[in-house]
Amino acid sequence: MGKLRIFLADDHAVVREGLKSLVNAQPDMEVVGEAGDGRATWQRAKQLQPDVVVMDISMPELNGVQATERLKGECPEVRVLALTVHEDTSYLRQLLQAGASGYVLKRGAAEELIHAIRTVAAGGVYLDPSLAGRVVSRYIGSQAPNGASQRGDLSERETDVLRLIALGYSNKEIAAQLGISVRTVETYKTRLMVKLDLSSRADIVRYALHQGWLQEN
Amino acid sequence: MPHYRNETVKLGSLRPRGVLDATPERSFDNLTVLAAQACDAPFAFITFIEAGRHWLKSKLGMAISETTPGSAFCAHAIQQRDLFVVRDALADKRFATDPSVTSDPPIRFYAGVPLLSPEGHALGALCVIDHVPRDLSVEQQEALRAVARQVMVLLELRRNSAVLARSDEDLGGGVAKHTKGEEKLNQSDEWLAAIFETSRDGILVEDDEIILCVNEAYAHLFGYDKPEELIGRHVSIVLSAEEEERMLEFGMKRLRGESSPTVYEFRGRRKDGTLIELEASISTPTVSGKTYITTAVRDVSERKRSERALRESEGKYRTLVEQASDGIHTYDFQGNFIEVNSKLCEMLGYTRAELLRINVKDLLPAEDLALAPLRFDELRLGDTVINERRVRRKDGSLLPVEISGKMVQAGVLQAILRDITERKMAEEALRRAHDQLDMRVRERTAELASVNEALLGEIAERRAAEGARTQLLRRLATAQEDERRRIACELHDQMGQHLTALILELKSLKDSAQSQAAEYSRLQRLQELATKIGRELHTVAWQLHPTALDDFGLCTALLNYVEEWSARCGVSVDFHNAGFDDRRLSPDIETALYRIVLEALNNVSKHAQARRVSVILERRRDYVLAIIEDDGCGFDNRITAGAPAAERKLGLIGMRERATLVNGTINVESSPGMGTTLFIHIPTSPPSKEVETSG
Repeated sequence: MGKLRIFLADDHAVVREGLKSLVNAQPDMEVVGEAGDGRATWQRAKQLQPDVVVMDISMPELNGVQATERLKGECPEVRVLALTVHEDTSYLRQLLQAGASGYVLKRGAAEELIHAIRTVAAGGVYLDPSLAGRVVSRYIGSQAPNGASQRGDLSERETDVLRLIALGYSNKEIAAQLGISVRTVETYKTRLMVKLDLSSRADIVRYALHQGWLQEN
Repeated sequence: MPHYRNETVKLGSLRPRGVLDATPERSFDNLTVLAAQACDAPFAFITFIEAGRHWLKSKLGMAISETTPGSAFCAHAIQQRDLFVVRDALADKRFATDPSVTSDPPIRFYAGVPLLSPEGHALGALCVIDHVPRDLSVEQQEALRAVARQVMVLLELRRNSAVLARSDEDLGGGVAKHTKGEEKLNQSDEWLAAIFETSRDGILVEDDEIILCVNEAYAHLFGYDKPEELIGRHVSIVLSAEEEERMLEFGMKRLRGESSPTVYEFRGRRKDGTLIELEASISTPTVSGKTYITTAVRDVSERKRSERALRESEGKYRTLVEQASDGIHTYDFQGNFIEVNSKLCEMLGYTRAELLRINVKDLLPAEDLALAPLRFDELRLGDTVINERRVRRKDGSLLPVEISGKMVQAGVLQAILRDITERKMAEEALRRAHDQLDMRVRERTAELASVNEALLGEIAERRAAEGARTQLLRRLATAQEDERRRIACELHDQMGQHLTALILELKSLKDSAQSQAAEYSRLQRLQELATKIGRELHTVAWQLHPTALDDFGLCTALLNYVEEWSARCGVSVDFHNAGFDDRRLSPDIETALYRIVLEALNNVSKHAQARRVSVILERRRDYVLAIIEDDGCGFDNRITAGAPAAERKLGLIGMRERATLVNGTINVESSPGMGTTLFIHIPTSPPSKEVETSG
C-alpha cells in the first residue's frame, strides 16, 4: 500500500509551504501537487487523481465550493477536505453539498489536519469539533416537531389574532383592526399559544403557514 | 256769487212737496245719519234751494241751525249734477277764501250730491263735510249717491201724499155744503186721537204753560201712571230745576213769535224726582184760530249714555295717543295728515298745524321713496306694514324711524313712528366693531400667512438639509461598511493566512524538536498562542463584517449569527424566514437589516432576561419585514416612546438611524411582563433591480 497522495489548493504560498512540510513530515503521506486558484486545482487534480484534495474556500478564479463541485462531478472518487478560515456553518453546508467529505478550520489545522486527512481518505466524514456541535443541533432543530399538534380548538377571535400575528401585524394594529384593546390581543395571544403549544412568534408563523392561512402573502 | 240758471223752473217744482219747512223730519234725519256714517264724516246735511235761499232740511253734527254751511260748495254741487268733491278746500282757489273755510272749525273737505227731480230739476243737495282734507272711496261715493236717491224718493212720496190730501180737501169742500161740519170734525178727532194715543213718542199739548193733555207714552216716560195726573198742571212739573228757566224762555219766545229752537234736548224731571234725557220737537198747530204748543218728546238717555261712553273712550284713546312715546298720526291714501300727536311734532320739529298742511311724502327723502315706495296696496288689504325709514325733520336733518302702518278705518291709515336713532347707532357701532374685527382678522391672517410662508421656507430648507444629512450618513455608512469589509478581508486573507503558515511551521518545528523537552514545550506554547491569535483574529473579522453576508446573503448570515449568539447567551432562538427563495436583497438593505438584528439581539441579551427569541424575516412584494420578539421582562412602551434617553439606552436610536438610511421604519411594541417586539419594515426596490445570487 503506497503513501496517501495529497493535493494542496490554497492561494497563499506560505500556507501551502506550511501544509506541505506538515504533510510530508508524515511517513504515509506525500504532496503530489498544489495550485493557487480554483480552476488550476480542478484541472490538475483531475489529471493527478489524488486521494485527498485539501481545498481552501476563498480562492481566485473558481472558489473552493465551485472547484469541489466540478471535481466531484468528474472524479467522484477524489476526496475533498475543506480547509478554511470561515467558521460560518453556511460555508460548511455548501461544501458538504458540493461533495466535500471534511471541513477543518485553519486555526486548528496544525493539530486536526493530519487526522482529518486520514479520516476522509478512509471514506469517513471529518468536521472540525468547534463546528460539529452547531451542525448537529440545527439538524435536530429542523427535525423537531414545530408544535403544530392541535391541542384545543381556537375561538374565532383567537384564530383572527393568530392569523394577524402571523401576517406580521403589531398588537396595536391587530387591536385597531379587530376593534379590541391591545391588552385583549395580548391575552388572546398568550391563550392561543398555550392552546396550540406554541412557544414563540416564529412558531405562530409556521403554524399559520402550515394551516394555509397566509395565502395573501 | 254762484249764479243759478233756470232757477225759477227748478225751484218751482219744490213747492208741491211740502217740505220747505225748517222743522226737521225724522225720515230725512235718518238719511242724513246714513250719509255721514257711509262717508265716515262728522257732518252731513240736506239742503234745499228756493229763490236763491238755502233751506237746511236735516243736519247732523253741526251747531249751526239756521245758516247754511258751505252754500258756495252746494251751489257748485248743484251745478255739477253729480257728485262734487272738494278734497282740500284750502288748496282750492274757488273756496280758499270762503268764510266757512277760513273760520274755525274750517270746512276742509266737502262732498255733495245734487238732488234731482224725475224731471231733472235740481232741488238741493245731500252733503258731507269734514274738518280735515280727505277722500271718498268708490264705495263711499256710491253710498252717498244712493242716499241722495233715497232723499228724492222720500220727496216724491211727500208730494204724492200732499196731492192726495188736497184732492181730499177739494172733495170735502164739495160735499160740505150737504153734510154737517161736526161729522167731519168728529171723524177727524177720532183719527187724531188714535194717532195721539198710539204714538210711541210722548206728546204734550199746552196752553199758556198749563198742560192741556198728554198721551199715555208721555205719562209713562215721566213715571206717571195716567195722563190725568199731569193734565191741568204747570209744565214745570216735568222740567228739572236747571232747565225750567230755559224752557220757559223758549215758550215765551214762541208765543211772541220770535224764533226759538224747534228741536232741542233737555233734561226732564220724572215723578220720583229722577232726571231723564229727552229730545223735544216743538210744533205750533193753530186750531180754530188758537195756537197751541205741542211738544213731542223721546227718551234719549240711552243714546246720551252711549255718546258719553264714546266720548270717554275717544278721550281715552286721544290721551293714550297724545301721551304715547312714539309718534302717531293718521293720514289718508293721498298722504294727507288727519291727526298727529304731540310726540310726532316733537320728533319732527313741526307744529301740529304745520304738519296738517303738508303731505306724508314731504317727510320722506325722494331717494328713499324711489327705493322703497309707500306700500298702500298692502295697507289697503288691511295688512300691518312695518318699515325702517328716514324722515326729514323741519330743520332738514334725517331721523331714522321704524314705521308701523295700518288702516284703522276705511280710508284712514294710522302710522306709528319709533325713533330708532339709538338702535341705529348701536347697529352702526356693532358694524364698525365687526369691520374692525374683520380688519384685524385680515391683518392677522396676512401676518400668519407670511409667518407660515417663512416657516414653510424654513421647513423646506431643513428638509433639504435633512436630505443632505441622510445622504451623507448613507455614504458614511456605506464607506464604513466598505472599510469594515476591506479590513475583515485583509484580516482573513492576509494575516489569517500568514498566521496559519506560522502555526503550521511551529507545528513542524515542535514535531522535529521532540528530543529536547524544553524547546518542545516552548514551541507548544508558541503554537497555542498563535492559535489563540487566530481565533481572536477571526472573531474580530467576523464582527467587522461577516463574509457570509456577502457570500450567502442575509438569511444564511443571520442564521449563522443567531446560532452563535444563542450558544453564547444561552437563549434559545427560533429563526424563521420566508419569501426569499434565492433572491438577494440590495447590499445596503442586507447590511442594515443584519446590523439591526444584531443590535436587537444585543439588547435582548443585555436587558430582556428572555428565555426565547423569535427572529422572523419575511420578504413580501415590495418590502421586507423583520420581527424580533422576546419573551422577556418588557417595558412600558408608553414611557419609552419618544423619550430620547430611554431610546438611546435601548439602542433604538442607532437602529432607527440605520433603518432610515434605507427608508425603513422601526416600530417597538412592549409591555411589562409581555416581552418586546421590534417590527422593522424596509421597502425594497422593484424586482427587476434586485441582485440575483450566483447560487
